[in-house]
Amino acid sequence: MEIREEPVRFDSSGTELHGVYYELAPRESFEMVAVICDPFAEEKKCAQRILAQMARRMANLGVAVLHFDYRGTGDSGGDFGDFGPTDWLQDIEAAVAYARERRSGANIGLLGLRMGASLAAELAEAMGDCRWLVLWEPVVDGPRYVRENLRRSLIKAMLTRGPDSSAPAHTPDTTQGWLDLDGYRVSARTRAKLEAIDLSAPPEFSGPVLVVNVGARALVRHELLFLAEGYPGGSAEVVVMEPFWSRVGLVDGERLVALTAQWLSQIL
Amino acid sequence: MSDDSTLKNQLKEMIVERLFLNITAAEMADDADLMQTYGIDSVNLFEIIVGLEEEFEITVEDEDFSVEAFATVNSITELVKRKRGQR
Repeated sequence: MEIREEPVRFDSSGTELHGVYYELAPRESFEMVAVICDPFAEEKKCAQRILAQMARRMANLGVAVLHFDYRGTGDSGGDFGDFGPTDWLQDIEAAVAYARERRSGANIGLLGLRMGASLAAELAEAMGDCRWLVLWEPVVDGPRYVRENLRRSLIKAMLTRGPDSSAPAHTPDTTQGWLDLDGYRVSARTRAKLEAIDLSAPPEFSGPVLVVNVGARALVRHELLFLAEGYPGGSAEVVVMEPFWSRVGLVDGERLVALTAQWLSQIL
Repeated sequence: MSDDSTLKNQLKEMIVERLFLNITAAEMADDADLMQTYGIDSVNLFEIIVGLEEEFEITVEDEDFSVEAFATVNSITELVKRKRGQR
């Protein structure tokens, strides 16, 4: 069987979203749709290839997949600066609704990376009927996440200035409430929403959850272990590989994709 | 082995591990330009700073950001010592 990859468009609060719908052709009888929740800004660009690889692998398992662009990103409508995490959460809800239109009665699972994983975790609790959740390197601590992105901007500014300048690198422009967050112009509202991300509270989702730590060490970081243990059906795994969401170059994602596919095949 | 050498070795281990470099820590020269020799870019530098804070328990402030401070293992060693209040 082949995987059919169909460009699709659907509405979210009056803005047209673009996505790709993956499914086996001819269509399998198994009624499950996975919605992929992208990370934020530059991380989305770097992660695109491995997320598409994951989408195809899930399709091979008989799971239809919807991978879409949030408002203001990719091929979807709107300007990036006009939207933020609250809008993108609505976009995931719209994607879930569209997935249900495509497969009436289908069960829904969510797979997210970084900020997308945090949004997926939030929505899974609100949905009530989400069947499973895969969280790749979720952002657990919003303020730290924003600080890290500010630092990336500082480092880029430092390297651009070169070794001859004696002036310290400047904090990214915060005039008029706007912020340069790793090259992306972000409103004060979006910054506040990113900083409000907090996955430290005990989660209320009771379905199976896979939390994946991707990094240099074969040991799950404490905060991700704590998060996974907070879910009644949670488990945590580690994959030793480069943080592909921050790498422009090619990173082999096979181990991460295979681990996730294996977990999915056990719960489907 | 002196404290300085121990610190440098720990730094090299951290850099090689976090950046997935295809060399051993022992092969990394103390005075080699990290950007020129090992192709370290802004993304890698960010990983090094996170590694310094997580593994060496120092806080890197905005005013510490300079190309010179992160140019070599020697210069990073000096930064860590300064942040720890050592000379």
